[in-house]
Amino acid sequence: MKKALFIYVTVLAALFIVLSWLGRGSAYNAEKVFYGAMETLRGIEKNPDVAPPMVLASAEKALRKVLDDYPKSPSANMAYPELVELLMKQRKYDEAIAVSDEMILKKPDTIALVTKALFARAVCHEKKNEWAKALVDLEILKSKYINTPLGLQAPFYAANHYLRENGPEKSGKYFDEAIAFYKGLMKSSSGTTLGYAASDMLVQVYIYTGKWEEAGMAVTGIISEYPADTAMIHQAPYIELIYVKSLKRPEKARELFVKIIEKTGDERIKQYFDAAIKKLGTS
Amino acid sequence: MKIGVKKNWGAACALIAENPVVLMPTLMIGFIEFLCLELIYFFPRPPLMYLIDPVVRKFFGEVFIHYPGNMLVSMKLVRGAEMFVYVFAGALLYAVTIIMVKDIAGRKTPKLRAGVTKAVKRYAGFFLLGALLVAVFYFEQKLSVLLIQKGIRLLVKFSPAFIVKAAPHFMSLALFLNNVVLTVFTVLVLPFMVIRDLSIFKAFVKSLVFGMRGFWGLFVMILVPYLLHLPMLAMKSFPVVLAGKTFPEVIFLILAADIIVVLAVEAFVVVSVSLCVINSAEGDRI
Repeated sequence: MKKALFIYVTVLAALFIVLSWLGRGSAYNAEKVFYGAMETLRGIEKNPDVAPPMVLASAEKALRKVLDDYPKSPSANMAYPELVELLMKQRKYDEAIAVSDEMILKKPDTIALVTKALFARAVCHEKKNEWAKALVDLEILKSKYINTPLGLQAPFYAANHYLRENGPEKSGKYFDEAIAFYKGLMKSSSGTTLGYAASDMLVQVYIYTGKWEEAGMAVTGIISEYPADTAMIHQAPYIELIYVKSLKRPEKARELFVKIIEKTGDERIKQYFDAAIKKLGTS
Repeated sequence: MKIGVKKNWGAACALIAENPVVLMPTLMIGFIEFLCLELIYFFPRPPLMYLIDPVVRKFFGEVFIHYPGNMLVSMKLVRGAEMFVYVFAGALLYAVTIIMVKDIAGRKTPKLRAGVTKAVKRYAGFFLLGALLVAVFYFEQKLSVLLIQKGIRLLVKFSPAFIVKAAPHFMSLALFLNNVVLTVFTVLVLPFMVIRDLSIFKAFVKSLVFGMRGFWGLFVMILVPYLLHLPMLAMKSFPVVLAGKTFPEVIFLILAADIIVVLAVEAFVVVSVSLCVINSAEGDRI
């Protein structure tokens, strides 16, 4: 009995060792380390102000382990941006720039990572008061990766920097530049996803700069040109903000809601906007 | 039909203490189940991933071949493996245990190899019994879940908040008791097949009749050892909560502990009920 038990335990232990050895360096092991790091980061997010340095260091170490030990695993693609973000939170801007450089160098074909790295690098340079360098990265994003979410945000981000640095009066021309850029993109990519994204950014810039009439016109244009359900639903809060809260013209909001009801085939969306119209009537 | 539960337990404990060899078949089942557990633990890694990943991806989804999603699907895989092991080896090896208990009761020296040889001759019957029992328990549990869920929904509708909160625990408890009751009516099939040399159909009928006549005695005889399994069952009912509060691998620790507890309890119950059948008179119309 004891002998049998010993043999069984030995066989199981030997198999465990062999399978562990065969599975070393696998993507699954990288996932485990990455998951551990993310759990630590989630813990930090719950209470970021009192995160002990040791906990931050352990998360950083785990993320670096994923990058060093499993550089080709899919987890490495997720670990890069997380590590950059963590370093930026700790104001280790030089290290964040170094990791971003590594990201661009090692993952040149993964557009999402390259754009994230460029954007993070721009933010780090800005924080280090090296705006000229930040502008270079933003320009690359604008010129080479305009069909990505971060590429599209680059002109708005740059204008926003001038607003923070120089105040509203001196930043106007930069916002005008951003508006002109988005308008141009809207026309050149009309009817495409990029055209829609540019229109949406235009609405955001108009709202941000308080140009409510122009924002309203841009929203009306989106509903006419992009009658997809998701696009129209996305505009609903803008319509309320522009026409109900800011311009105090609820009849225009009602008109747009009716237009959406006419264009959609989804019953739930119809019900939602019917309710929104009723709400406008009582307000 | 009166069953002396305490006397029976005492006799079973003494028999196991004096002849630990009767636990050997259970140990073999444990070894096979642990082997399956180990293979399931390593399935998302090479080399097993090449074999198992496509199957898990097809039936459960991509997320379950990655960490920590694989931990959740592992519970289902282990359950499937346990059923598989029971059908192909479990019933046979428990039959070997019963043969050895019969030998001990007949004042013969229990021999594992002789027991295995004897049992293998009736492998088809034990295989069929294993498959039947697995099917009966599986479908009965599905039906019970459906009915208990409806019952709980009604309970929740007309109950105060604290009962609503405890509803998931009711579910586990109700399923556990349900399982014990079903075991009362089926636990004697194998002992009857081995000790009285009955066919599978006759053994089923006898087990059912014995279960009805001596219900409370058998119920207590099975329920008390199975209570040891209750904490495992409770932990297995909330794997996500437990893994979230500790670490994902805790699921495997629970599964490992579950295998040990279930096998220990089942070995004891099999010896107990075998003694019960042996001690009941041959002509007893049970």
